[in-house]
Amino acid sequence: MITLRLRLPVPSPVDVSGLQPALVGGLELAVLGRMKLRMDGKTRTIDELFALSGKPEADRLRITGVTPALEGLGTEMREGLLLLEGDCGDAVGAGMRGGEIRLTGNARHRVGAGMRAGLIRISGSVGDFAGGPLPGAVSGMRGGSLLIDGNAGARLADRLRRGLILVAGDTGPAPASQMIAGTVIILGTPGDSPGSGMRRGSLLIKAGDCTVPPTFVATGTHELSFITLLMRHLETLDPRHARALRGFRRVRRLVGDRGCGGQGEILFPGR
Amino acid sequence: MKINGVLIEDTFAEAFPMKATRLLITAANANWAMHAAQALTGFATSVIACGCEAGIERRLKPAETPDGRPGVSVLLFATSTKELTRQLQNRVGQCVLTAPTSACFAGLEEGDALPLGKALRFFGDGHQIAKKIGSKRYWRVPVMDGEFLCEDVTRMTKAIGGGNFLILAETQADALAASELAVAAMRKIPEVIMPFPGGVVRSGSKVGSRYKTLPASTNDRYCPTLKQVVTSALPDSVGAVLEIVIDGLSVEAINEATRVGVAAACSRGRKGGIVAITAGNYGGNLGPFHFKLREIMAPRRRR
Repeated sequence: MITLRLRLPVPSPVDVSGLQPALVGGLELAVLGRMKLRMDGKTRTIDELFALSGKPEADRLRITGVTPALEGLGTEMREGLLLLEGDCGDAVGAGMRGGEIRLTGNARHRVGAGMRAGLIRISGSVGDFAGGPLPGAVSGMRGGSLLIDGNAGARLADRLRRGLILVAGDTGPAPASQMIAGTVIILGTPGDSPGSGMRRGSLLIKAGDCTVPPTFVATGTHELSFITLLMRHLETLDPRHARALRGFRRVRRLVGDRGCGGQGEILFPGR
Repeated sequence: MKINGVLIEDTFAEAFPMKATRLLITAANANWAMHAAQALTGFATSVIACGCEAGIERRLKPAETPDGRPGVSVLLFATSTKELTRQLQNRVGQCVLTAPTSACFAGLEEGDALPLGKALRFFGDGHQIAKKIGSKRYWRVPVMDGEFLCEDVTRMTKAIGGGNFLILAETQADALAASELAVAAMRKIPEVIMPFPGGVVRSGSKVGSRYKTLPASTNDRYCPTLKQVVTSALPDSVGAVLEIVIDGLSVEAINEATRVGVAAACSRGRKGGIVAITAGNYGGNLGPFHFKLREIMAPRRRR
């Protein structure tokens, strides 16, 4: 697998959306090094910005020393495995349509915005609007899975339409705001007003003491078969997180946001 | 050819192409899964008047089902995609959706999609919830004991209906005992069902009748009470005949079911009152699948 190590510091943003495993992972180092990137209105060769090593391997690529100056990481990615090490900027994996991104580090806002398929794993924390819409878009993520080991910022899964988002840590205010459908799992403590403006979809919150908007109504405690299916699916993605769902065999179910006629659900572990 | 003194006639079963699907029905416990499966496969012995042929393939352990609960695998066969779709929706809607704690999943991964939850979801009257988990879509329909969980679509495959063999015995009791042994052995074979009551049919039919409105009538050549009345196919020693009809997802599955079924029936031997094994056909011109008894029962060569 080819590794691109960023030669620090990069003075201004660089568009690296073309550095995708299926596009460049199989190229010879010499060929890859001569390819050009845009930085500050000028073109630079990859050799100038990155130190290249490793052997070409189709569908795999690693970028280390990542900084927020690298823009467009994994944008519209369709296949392959992209390994990132460092702290990313905005919109990692935006519009992604397949493949897998594994980030060892943190990311800023709009991770996975508008993604349609594929898998993003993040070992650290992310900023606001993770899994939300791209600026100007009607809906957020439309498919795929986003797994975040750390915390998430405000408006996680805003206008989420389809797909799975899991946050192992805490979130900022209004997770699952205006959610249209899909599934969001928060294993830590959610911020204020989870599910506000929610239309449909499922928000699973492990912390039982969280306050939900008064426009959600309690429907009692239930055993829902789909939770088992969800657990089994999570087993295939990350067994650690699947184990954390065991407490959801019985769930306390609230429906809302009735303030906007929504039929979404917030599920807490039941007794 | 004889097995334990029982004559294996040099003939074949003539079978027909069908469309089939497999469903996995689960419930809070094995009893309720079986109640739902039995209701769904009820009145499904023959496509002549039931619309489809259906049966229970086997019980499923919790580890084998999508939702980790005990379950039952059922197979449904029909002569057309349209009829299979109609039977599927009616039967799942009336027999599985209605059964306490039940859920219903597709049991085949490949083939053309047939609507399952996609059609039944409307029972939720707007309160149904779609849930996509991995690559599959499910419907959660609110019902009075909680939710009915149902996969969006099931898959349809090409299949074969009408594999069969007949057990010719000295007495009704002998025929029945041999049939029970055969069906017990055949139920261990995957991908097949024996759709008639207890897996056995006593009213084998021929095509046509002397009545205009009746397309099929009793197979008089095999009725022991008509031995001197019609041109009988039965020797004097035969006092009863029972038939086992087999529907399967593949030729291999029907071959194997026939092999173990005939072997089990013959295990009683000629001394146990079993006279011969034969098979039903229409001369070989109607159905493209021919299951030749002597080929199927020929000793297997060791490698």
